[in-house]
Amino acid sequence: MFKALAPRTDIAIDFGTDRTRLVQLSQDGLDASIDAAAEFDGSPFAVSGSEITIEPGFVQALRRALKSSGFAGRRCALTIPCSSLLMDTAELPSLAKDELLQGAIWEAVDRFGLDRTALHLGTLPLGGGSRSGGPTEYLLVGIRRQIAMALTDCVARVGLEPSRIEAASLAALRTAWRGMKMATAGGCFAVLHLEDGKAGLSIMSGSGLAFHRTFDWKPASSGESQADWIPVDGEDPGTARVFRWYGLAEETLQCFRHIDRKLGCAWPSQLVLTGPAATDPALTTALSSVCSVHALAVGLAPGVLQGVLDPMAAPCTWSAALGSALAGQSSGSGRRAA
Amino acid sequence: MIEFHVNLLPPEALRHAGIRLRRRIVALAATAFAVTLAGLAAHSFNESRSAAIRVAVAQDLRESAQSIDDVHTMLMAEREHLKRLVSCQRTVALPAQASDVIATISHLLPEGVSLHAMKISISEAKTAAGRGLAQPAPTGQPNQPKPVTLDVALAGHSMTLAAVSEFEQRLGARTPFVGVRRNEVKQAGSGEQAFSLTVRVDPWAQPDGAERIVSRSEP
Repeated sequence: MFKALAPRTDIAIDFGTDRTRLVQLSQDGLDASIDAAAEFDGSPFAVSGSEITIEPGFVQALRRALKSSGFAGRRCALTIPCSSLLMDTAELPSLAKDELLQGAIWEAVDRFGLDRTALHLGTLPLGGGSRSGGPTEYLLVGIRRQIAMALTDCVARVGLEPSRIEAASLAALRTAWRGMKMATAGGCFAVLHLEDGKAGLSIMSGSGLAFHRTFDWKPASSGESQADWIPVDGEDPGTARVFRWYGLAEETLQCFRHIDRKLGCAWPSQLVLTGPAATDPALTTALSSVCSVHALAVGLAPGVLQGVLDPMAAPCTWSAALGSALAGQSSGSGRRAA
Repeated sequence: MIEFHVNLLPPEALRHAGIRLRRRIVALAATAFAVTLAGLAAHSFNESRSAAIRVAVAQDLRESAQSIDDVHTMLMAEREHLKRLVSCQRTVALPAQASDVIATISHLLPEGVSLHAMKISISEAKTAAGRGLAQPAPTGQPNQPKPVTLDVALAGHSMTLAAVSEFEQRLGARTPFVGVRRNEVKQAGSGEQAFSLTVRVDPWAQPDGAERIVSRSEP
């Protein structure tokens, strides 16, 4: 009855590599409902993952989507694909927060080869941090300032005010984590976020994010986005798709072995697939058989109602936008799932 | 609770967005202010024009009222002047032209009656007419000067006494002759009767059935 008065989250805008998706949730008690959702063809990162090109037509399409789909408010949260970000892990000594950030910036400048004025960096501790005062492994997530400024300008032109920019893989990880943390009960599970040509693998342990790595999952010489069209020498064309997914599965398996050796007895029990490219059933089959793990596509997080979202839409496609919107929610469903 | 927050929004981008937002707000506020100012200016202009029109109308009314008062005063003065002129005219003007009186009396003479003397003298009008009717002054004001009348004395000869009586009756029945009085009738030589009458010409006396005096000026 008073649904119209329910507080709404920030408008989550997921800039994919070829499509842009917008989602806004409203919180009704402990539940959240998708109150507005829209998607359209086009992305500022369509030409190149590392460059941004904002066409006037894209701004108009974004404005149309905002007006026609019932979005409310001015604040928005942006997610961008991993291909537009600079991500790596680094061990840093235990320092004060400001000193840690400065150290991470110097490390990132060395690793990414950018001037520090052209880079904005964020860090995330891996493995729950060090309690003994020793070095801690951090995930370094960098963005070119030019891209951040261009995105800010883009959304400002349609009357929005950005509150945050984050990686799509980490936003999708939030959606998966909300659904999985109850099921695994503190165990270890992995989340594989698949974008067009780029994958982000996160492994969660009981203490939080233990591992994160992004890697290419499509040969650069392919030129095709459909994996089952990639020819493989000596293989029957009908088996090419499965062989292609096995390459991705092998890369995932290597990461699992690495974290198993590092943490000890930390083989993930489940592998959750997120991202637009995670809808292929052959992918779950390949990952399950190669990695010896139960692979499944992510669903809507517990406490999140379908709302206006198309029932036929795959939740894994919207996982980054939903995770970004959930960050603006006051964690009602998270508390219930914990 | 772990939320994996890595905010990649640079502070300068946030400031840039804030500046852009503030610019929009300032632009909206400026537009609203300009619209309000334009509306206020238009309203003030209309009010000023209306006030000027009201002042002009009030000024015209005052001037018109002054003119009306002047015209009224002038008309009253002219009326008084005309009243004085009329009063003066009544005191000096004769009730009828002597030639008209003579012509009318000659016209009324019966067969066999002739006149050999006539005297017309001016006198003030009397309140009681010869026929015994009280005639009020024409203006109805007691302090008005009395208009003048003419007393006509006639002397003549008639073949018969009846002709004299008929002449007397004709005079009495004719306006503005009133107060016909036979002064003397006596035998003259060769069977004629010499008579003398006096009659008053009083136009203010209006007896019933009176005929109007024949005037040369009114056909």
